[in-house]
Amino acid sequence: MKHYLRTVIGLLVGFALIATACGGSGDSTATDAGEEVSADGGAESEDAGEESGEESDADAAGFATHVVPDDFPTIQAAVDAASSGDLIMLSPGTYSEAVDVTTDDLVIRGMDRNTVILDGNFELENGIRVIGADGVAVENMTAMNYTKNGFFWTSDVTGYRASYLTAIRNGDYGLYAFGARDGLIEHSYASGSPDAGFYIGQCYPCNSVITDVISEYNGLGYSGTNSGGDLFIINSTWRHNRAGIVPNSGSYEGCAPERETTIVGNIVHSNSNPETAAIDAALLAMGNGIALIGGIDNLVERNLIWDHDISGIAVAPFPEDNPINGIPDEYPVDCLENAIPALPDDAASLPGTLFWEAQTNVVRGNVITDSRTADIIVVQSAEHGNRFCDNDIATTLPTDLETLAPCEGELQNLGGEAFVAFFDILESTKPPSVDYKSVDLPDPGPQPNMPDAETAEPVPARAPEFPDTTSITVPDAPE
Amino acid sequence: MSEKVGGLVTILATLLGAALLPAVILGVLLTAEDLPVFEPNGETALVQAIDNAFAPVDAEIEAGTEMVWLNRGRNGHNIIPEDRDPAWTFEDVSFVPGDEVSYVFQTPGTYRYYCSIHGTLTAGMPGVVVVTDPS
Ligand SMILES: [Cu+2]
Repeated sequence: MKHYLRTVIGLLVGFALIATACGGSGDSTATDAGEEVSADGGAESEDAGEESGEESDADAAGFATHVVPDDFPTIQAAVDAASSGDLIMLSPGTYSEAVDVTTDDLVIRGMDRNTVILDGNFELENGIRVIGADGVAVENMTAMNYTKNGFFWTSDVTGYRASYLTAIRNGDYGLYAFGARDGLIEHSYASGSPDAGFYIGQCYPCNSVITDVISEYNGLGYSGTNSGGDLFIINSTWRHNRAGIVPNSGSYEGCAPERETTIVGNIVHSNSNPETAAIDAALLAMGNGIALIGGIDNLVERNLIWDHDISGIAVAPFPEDNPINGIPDEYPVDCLENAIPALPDDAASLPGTLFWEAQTNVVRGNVITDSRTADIIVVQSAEHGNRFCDNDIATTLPTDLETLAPCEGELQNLGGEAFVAFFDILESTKPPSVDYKSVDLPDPGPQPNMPDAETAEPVPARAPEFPDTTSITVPDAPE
Repeated sequence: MSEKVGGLVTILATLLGAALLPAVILGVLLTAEDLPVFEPNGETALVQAIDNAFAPVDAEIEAGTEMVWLNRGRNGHNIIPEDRDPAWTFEDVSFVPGDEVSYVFQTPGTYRYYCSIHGTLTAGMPGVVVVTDPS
């Protein structure tokens, strides 16, 4: 993106300097997102099987249990034979399979998360791919060495759940939900993917929750393009990635823009790791804990953030080169199927670079330390209505950010220094990607198993309960 | 159906099949030989591979046109023809962001394909090129 940067900086700085206070127009709607009243949304699979200690009986229980390899030699054979609502149980062992699931409401469960291993051997594309099937839950297993994704839901899915999953060294994403809504990703671990450990994209409203996950040694800890709307990322750890939590807008997927993602109660640290596999977007975002890139109405609240080469939290535009479409005049109110808008008749009418502005985001009550450029960086003008308050911070760019752009009251001129600094950073050379097949990864050790994996009844995936984020406090630092 | 009648039907079907087989083979050969082939016309048409869809999904071109698939997304994609033994394919079916692949369709017909990473012929990431007769 270097060729246009200088011009762009000039324009932006100029614009920032003339922009004047515009209190009132920038009120965020993101503050509403956390007020859904509910219990913890992540408990279904733990509670489901407490009544039943017996092997399932199809007639009595209303579902059949298919055991691999006892009943079927492969996971795919069991999946193909199963009916909606059935439970597929995987015995400990290594499975070199790429499994496609097209039946609704299946529950696919490993008997032991750490010894039920799907291995792609760097030849197979996806570990378990749920394609157009609603309500499928995948539980308690590991997927590694796939050329693309460990666990993947796609193609207009309503209802999905990932519980107690481990994804290591997969070539695109660890856990990947694309064009899927009503999802719950919980108690899971992902490392070693050049794109994101966890991804939710192309959905609005997404109605989805990520809770209690660990994402490390990826290009991005979390990525989500054009997703949002009751989308919660809570109570999780994002560390040692190139960049931590990075939602963004772009025309290269449907449902633009990214908006209304709620990021609360996470531990985010040391996301400046130069020794991961990384796609270009991860190189660009490198050194930032949480980066809102061209997104709207997001809420970032009460996260504990430290040790970043650039910032703890960055709010910045996404300059998209060679866009395939413009920014929509009206944002879709319901986006899942047929998500790609019609392409313009005259492609030449599109700008060479499309600027997705980060707007009306709220950053509140975070605790941020040890950021080498600034704890919070804002590369937008006052007119974009981003607001900041109650953060426990030492440095911001621009300085006095919480006075200039408070959560309540008038927004004042933010000046141009952040633009210059930020684009200088973007232009700087980053340590190149390391091949995901050979990159050094930490041994995560045995990961927690799903309770009662051998006896719990299958519970198909339904829309999760939304968390009461007002009850989430800043997490304690790990010992 | 009684066993006797079932047996008769099987025998009839077998006889009929045996009689038709040479005709079917001949038909395929004749069709293959009769398919018109148009010389490259120097025209190109574009399908963009984004995440995770081909845009447009349905492309229509005249025979002789070079179809170009350009990856404008963030993910790698591939192009897998519908048939096991396709009349068309690429040397390298995979292409990463920024790269393109192309093929000159010289014979009219409907060519279905998909990206095997993100879908199947019917869901996820399918596409079709309809090649029309320019004459
Ligand atoms: Cu694809």
